[in-house]
Amino acid sequence: MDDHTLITRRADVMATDIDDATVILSLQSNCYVSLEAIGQRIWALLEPPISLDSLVERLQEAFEGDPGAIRRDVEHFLGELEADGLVTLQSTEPSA
Amino acid sequence: MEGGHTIHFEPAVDLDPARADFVLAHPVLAALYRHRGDLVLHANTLHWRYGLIAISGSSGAGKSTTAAGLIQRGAIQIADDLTVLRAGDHGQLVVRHGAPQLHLTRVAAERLGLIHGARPSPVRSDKVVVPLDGPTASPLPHAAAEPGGWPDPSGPGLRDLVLLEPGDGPQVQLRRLRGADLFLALQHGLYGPLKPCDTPASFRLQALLARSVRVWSLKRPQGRWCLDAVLDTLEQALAAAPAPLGEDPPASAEPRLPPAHG
Repeated sequence: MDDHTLITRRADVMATDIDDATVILSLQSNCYVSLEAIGQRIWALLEPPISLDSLVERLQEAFEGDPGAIRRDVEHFLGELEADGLVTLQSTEPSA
Repeated sequence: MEGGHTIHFEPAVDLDPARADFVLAHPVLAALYRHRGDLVLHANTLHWRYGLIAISGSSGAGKSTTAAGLIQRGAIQIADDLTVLRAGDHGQLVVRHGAPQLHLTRVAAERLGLIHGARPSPVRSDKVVVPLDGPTASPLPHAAAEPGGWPDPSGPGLRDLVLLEPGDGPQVQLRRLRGADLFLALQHGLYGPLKPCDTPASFRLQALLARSVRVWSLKRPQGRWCLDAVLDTLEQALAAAPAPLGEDPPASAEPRLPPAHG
């Protein structure tokens, strides 16, 4: 995962907001994942697809904290979303 | 099953017809409605003075006994054991009318004075089927609607869903569920396994339910439990809780139902 990694919600997921949570269903694995607080915020930022660099920048604007720690946490979280079949992480070349 | 409208059923030579009827009217019917895109709950649904209420829970949780208690407090039964929901015209979930009967444990039927006219359950030796209509019916009322029919799609929708289960304390514990807790608990109220092809429609209706229905977790004491305590707790909570979708609570204490369409 690098700055230009493009994060995209998979097409075969369904999501709904219920009170203070977002519940996401993977039609691929038939598993539910619920996100709250920052996880919910990150999920919202993935529409439309966004680069890792831009995502981290948006989160740094919204939350206080060490930029390096935020990035590590975000990468870890995105890895979990990918493993759950909810997003794709695509390496892209930086634009000229 | 074909196209959500045809069921091919070949009974074994020695199959008890009553058992076959049960299988067709429960798991097979549930699969049919799921296939049609409806949401199927393992629940009894009644029309009470607070609106339509579904009592869900796994086998042995006490939902039929609770339903019988609600009926004795003036509720009218809409569906027994299998509650089928579909989206109405105004973002509400309307409830299909089920058969006019109530599956109860023999002990509960005797305690509630409903054993007269009851017949043995074809699938559970500890249960009886209490008719709510016909010449041998119990005095309990039942919705005057054609079984299997759907109500007016603009009519009232399900208002409360109670997920009933044995708890670990001596008291009845009731709390309203929200967010992820609500969704997780709701999975335990669904009837039967979902096939992958049924999942998208089910998810959409579960999301609609989460927005339009008040969902409660009700834990009753294990072993000895007092039906009146359960009903009193429910009644107090339903009377005090804010209405879903900004509705005003029904003004009439007497439930009235629109006729069902076949």
